[in-house]
Amino acid sequence: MNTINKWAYFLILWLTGGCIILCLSGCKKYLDYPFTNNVRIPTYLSDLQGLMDDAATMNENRTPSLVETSSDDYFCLPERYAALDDWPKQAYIWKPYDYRYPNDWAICYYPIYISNFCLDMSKDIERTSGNASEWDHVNGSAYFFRAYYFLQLAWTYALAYDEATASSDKGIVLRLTSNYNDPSVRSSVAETYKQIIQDAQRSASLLPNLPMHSYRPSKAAAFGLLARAYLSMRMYDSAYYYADQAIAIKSDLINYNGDPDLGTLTINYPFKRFNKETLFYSEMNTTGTSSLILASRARIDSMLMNNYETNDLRRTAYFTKSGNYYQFKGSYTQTSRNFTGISTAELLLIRAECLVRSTTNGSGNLQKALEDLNNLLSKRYRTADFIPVTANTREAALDRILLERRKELLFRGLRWMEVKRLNKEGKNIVMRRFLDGNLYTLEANASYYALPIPIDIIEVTGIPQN
Amino acid sequence: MRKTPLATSTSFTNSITNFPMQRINDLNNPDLRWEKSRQLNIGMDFSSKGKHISGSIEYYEKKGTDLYGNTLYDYTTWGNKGTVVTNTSNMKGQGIDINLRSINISRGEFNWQTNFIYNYNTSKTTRYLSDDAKEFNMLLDGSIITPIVGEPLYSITSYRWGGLNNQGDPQGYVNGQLSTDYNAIGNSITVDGIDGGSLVFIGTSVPAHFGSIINELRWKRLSFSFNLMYKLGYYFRKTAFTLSELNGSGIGHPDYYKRWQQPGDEFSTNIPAYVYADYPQYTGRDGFYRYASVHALKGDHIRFHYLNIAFDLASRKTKRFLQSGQVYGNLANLGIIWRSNKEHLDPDYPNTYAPPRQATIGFRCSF
Repeated sequence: MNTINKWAYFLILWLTGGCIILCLSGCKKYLDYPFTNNVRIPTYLSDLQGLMDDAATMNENRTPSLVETSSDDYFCLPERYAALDDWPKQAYIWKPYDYRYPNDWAICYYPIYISNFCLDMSKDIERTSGNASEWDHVNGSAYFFRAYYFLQLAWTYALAYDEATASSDKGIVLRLTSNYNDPSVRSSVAETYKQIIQDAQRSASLLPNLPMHSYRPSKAAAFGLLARAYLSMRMYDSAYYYADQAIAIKSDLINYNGDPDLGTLTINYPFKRFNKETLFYSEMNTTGTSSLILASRARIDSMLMNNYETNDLRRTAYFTKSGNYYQFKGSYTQTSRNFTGISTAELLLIRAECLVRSTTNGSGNLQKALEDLNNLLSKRYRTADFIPVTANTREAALDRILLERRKELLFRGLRWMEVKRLNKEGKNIVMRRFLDGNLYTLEANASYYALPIPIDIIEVTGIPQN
Repeated sequence: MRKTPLATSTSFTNSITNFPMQRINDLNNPDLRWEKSRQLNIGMDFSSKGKHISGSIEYYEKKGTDLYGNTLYDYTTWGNKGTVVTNTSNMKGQGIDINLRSINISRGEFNWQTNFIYNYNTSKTTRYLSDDAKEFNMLLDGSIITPIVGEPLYSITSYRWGGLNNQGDPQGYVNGQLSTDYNAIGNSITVDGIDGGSLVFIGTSVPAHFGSIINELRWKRLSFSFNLMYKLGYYFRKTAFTLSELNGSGIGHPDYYKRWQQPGDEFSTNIPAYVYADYPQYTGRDGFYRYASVHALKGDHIRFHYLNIAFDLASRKTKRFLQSGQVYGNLANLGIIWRSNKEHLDPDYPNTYAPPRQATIGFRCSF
């Protein structure tokens, strides 16, 4: 009897103890997560800032490569073409194709997720006088990154902004929350640009003038982004305004005649990374079709090369001879990856172009535009025999500026948008590729200018394909 | 896989800027739930008169729901990975555990008994979250839940093998035809899954029948036991001779010596010709060959697990100062004594060395 009592006693003790433990652990609705080592749940401003300081995620190997592979600044040698996978072959000659993860779409929406995550999390953090500058910096950076990558996606997957059709032309998916249950829908081109402008303006009001490092957003970078956005929309007065504001903050140029940010012109990648012209640093990604534009594989169109005169130092700095053709070596990333960030040279060219296009202030603008242009060109041509550009008419000046844009901003992911928007003004630029005795062309204003969206996105979300 | 509904991040320092940085590891998924399982066990102990044969037999049925798996998702929402972990699948399993102890001989001071342990288990996927599963890359190696309903929970799938062609290139199937277009084979799997015909289902990667047979012999103060473990009814994937490993990393493989070398060899060997894999027409050849069905082998084997000899020192005479004592010797990991695969591979360790043989001698006692 005694033993049975003892066992019963222990049994009851165990059962109750077990029940208590079970009740305490409870039927939790969500899984809890223990902190181990340096893994944490990002909650504080410093965590959010840390997320955006992850340059490998936010800046490097990021912006779309499809825009470059679909553009005409390079061509692919026939033997290289034969060795390509199926869908890059189609992409090269502007035919539609099916492709899946990983791709430009996924790679660009990731920093957008991080930006949304930071914005969502910082809503729960009160902005006090103690954390004001940190709070502003986190929110400003998040808005900037979101606007930046929305614009990159718009350049890739949407047609150029046309006031007449912008409300019905299909835009990109505007993700404004980090909640992954929110369904993805395509906005219109008008809504897309509206969101980009709004986010970029918000970020400009929150960020410091200059960044601690060009990986980070800044007011100057936000103004540069706005200038780019308005230029894409052909709203040249607004583009002028913001380019001007950005240049007012930072306007350094690398002098190709000799500069601490420049090694010998003839070496590969002579430009120092994070050089003085870099307002905001980003790189083109190297997936999908990017093998087409690898420096060692892509060759520069000869007609384009002819535009670099012998005393144009860019001829030596940007290119090296390979067989009968030239290949590109002038990336500001100082590597074979393409630099796609915002540079002061680009902004100077935007300002010059907008001044020429502007109808106010008579010929005063033409003079100012040429000043900007020559300011840049004096740093690009040999000082000894540089003759400043003159132009009597707006058309002549504009032609020269557009040409210099093409020469200066090679392999920066800008050409695709450039052609799209110029064709909206009747420039009628037709891209051509000659392959296997066949001529392939991309007509001006073709619907193909909104590139194909990945097929697995279409399958999962049901959004309309381009 | 760590699963939590909240986003978690790891801290680093950016090597270029020296700013502290955070990187989110997994998407925050508020719908993520615990995996649930319930099990029914029915068992019975029995023994014969005189305890010559005794043991237990148990039948169990297990149902698991909300098991974790990778699913395709709208990667516009995140983009860092092509799949996310969600509660994707349900499983159902059943099995029998039999434990039989047989006293074979018990005469005087000699005793011999055998312990038979037999386990039978099958599990299969009863539900998988989405139809997208069929578009999922279906090369399975037993590490994730099989996304095909009705198939074993952990399985091996392989590319259908079509032999070598007369140039020594491995062949697969596209639309039922022999093909060396490795990209097309890969695409067919991505788009049509197992229905495309380029992929075959090999079988379960978890043994269906397994257990041990332990024999114990005792004579006076000497005891001797040995254990044979067996695993039957499953498959594993062996390593392949690939050019990327040889040319790219300098890792060799013994299959190299049996490779195709001249026309006609394709009838006697399955190992492809040596080529320079970075030529464009060979893109995907390594990937196809590595996962071709020739490398999925039956894993059935019987392993000699250990051997034990012991000698009892204690006796009535020594009880005053030595309560119990024993000198023992033990040999472990004695290797496989029968295997189903003809390539002399150890299915439990297809890629690495098996644990080496171990010999131990010891003395244990209590006072």
